[in-house]
Amino acid sequence: MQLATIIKAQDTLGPMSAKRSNAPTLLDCERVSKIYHGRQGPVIALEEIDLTVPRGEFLSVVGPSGCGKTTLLNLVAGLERVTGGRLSVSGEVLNAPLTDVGIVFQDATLMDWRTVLDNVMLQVEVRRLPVEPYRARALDLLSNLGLEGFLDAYPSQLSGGMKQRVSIARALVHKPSLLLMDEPFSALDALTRDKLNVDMQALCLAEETTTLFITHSITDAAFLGDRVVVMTPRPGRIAEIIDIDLPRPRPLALRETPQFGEYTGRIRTIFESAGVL
Amino acid sequence: MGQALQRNDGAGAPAKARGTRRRARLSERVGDIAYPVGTIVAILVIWEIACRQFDIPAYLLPPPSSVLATIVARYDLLAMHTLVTTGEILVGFLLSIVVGVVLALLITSFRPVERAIYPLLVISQAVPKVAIAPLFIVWLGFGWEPKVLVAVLIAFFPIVVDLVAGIRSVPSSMRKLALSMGANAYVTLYKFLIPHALPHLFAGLKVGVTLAVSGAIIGEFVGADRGLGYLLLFANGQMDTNLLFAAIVVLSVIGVVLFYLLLLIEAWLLPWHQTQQSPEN
Ligand SMILES: Nc1ncnc2c1ncn2[C@@H]1O[C@H](COP(=O)(O)OP(=O)(O)OP(=O)(O)O)[C@@H](O)[C@H]1O
Ligand SMILES: [Mg+2]
Repeated sequence: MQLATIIKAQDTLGPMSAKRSNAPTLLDCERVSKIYHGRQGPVIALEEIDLTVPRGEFLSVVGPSGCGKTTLLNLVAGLERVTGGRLSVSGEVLNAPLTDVGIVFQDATLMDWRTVLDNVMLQVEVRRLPVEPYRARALDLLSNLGLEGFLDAYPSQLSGGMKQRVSIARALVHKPSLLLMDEPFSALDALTRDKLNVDMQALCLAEETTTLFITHSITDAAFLGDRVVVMTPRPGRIAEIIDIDLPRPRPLALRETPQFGEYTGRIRTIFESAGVL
Repeated sequence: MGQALQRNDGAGAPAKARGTRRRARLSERVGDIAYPVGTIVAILVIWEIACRQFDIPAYLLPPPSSVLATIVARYDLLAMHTLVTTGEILVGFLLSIVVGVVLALLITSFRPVERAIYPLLVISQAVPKVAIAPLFIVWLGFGWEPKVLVAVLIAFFPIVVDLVAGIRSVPSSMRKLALSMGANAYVTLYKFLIPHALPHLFAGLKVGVTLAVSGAIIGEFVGADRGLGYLLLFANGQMDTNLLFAAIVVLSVIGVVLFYLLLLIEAWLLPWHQTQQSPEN
């Protein structure tokens, strides 16, 4: 499976948002709130989040530290319960951990005792999926992510960027309907990040997974997202949701264009008027 | 877009480096043996020379050569007692692994168990084992059982503490990952928690095995008619310092052999772990 050919084929379909405008809803948040009861009294982590994500969308969430991004991800993954409102995935209200999901954490969270390929196959083993077809898919994903020479390497022999690539392959190998990423690139240097942005975009175009991509970086959010959810802290709220109407695949150079600058400028203005910047 | 297919974020292909790394590791291993053996030989030579030079009486400090001669001459006696003590150590150590692992799993799985048991564990270690060993003799007689019990009582503690610490150190993201894969408690335990905690467990086992040796000897000191601990007391009473040293040598060899056996098992089970990699990695 050549990534380049997939992308060319996808290109003829035009921008993703046009294709997905009438796709069925995957994730639906209605006035979702989350209050933590900590030692210093209650903390409102999220307040009245309204958000509808259609299948196949790449949704970026950007906001400063403490605005509840990780909380939102934990709620969507069913790892924590909402304290108000309604959160449903594929039409069903969540009351247990979501399993039709792949998660990429900030640190790659690889099993040090497993090789690269076995780390990806962990997903398959735990889910008791048939090994042979999924092994082929794991190999495919790993080679698309440039790791074909490292299948038998242990995580301690990999760079940070490579570890995060393994983690991405692991999150996708079982074809989940939802991909959740919590600041996956924030521990990486700028160049590695750029490259992963490009690879991530190519993968998501090929995979058609719905993606919730949490980041601190306005540039990453706008570059990858079909839409960008802009959040502000204390209490965590959605300030605005911005459509990014730029054709795909988006080359890195797009970030230097005035259209792109307009989007990032708008996001920055929201943060400024909220007193974040 | 072709750049998506290349990889250039660091680290050479492992295959290339493997040959040189293996050579480096081999010389590292040879050094691991050569350095301590060299040191021991040097000490023995100085000891031997000192004994001869200063005419130290044999009942105070026999020269290594005469200790060695004793080991050879009284091989049968030593072997018989060694067998007894080694059996007690092994049974005690294996039991303390079972006890330690079960307790650690209970403690980390059930909060009430932790609150009920952990303080008791600490108390069990505060009581001097030599003090309660006579009690075990009263209860269990003069056979191997009280020796094993003392060994278990000392050796299980580091195993519990280290395994609990290992399971506690599992990052929350790893637990979340397990939940997102739909792993049940059992799968979470054996595919995530236990492998993560294995290096910690081995740290506890290495301490535990040396403690099991001490435990068996303490048990034998208090009341026994066989075993190296008994032989030590017997030789002491006879002022047979040569035999005393011979028993000490055998006992040390048992401890060292068991320790290195553990290292071998660890290297075999955890080839991925940092302790298994040569320093330049
Ligand atoms: N388990 C918890 N108990 C109490 N308060 C919590 C808990 N988890 C999060 N919070 C609070 O909720 C708020 C949102 O936290 P969250 O981790 O979601 O922020 P974030 O946007 O992910 O921040 P960052 O970008 O630094 O990761 C913070 O004020 C935090 O202190
Ligand atoms: Mg966070």
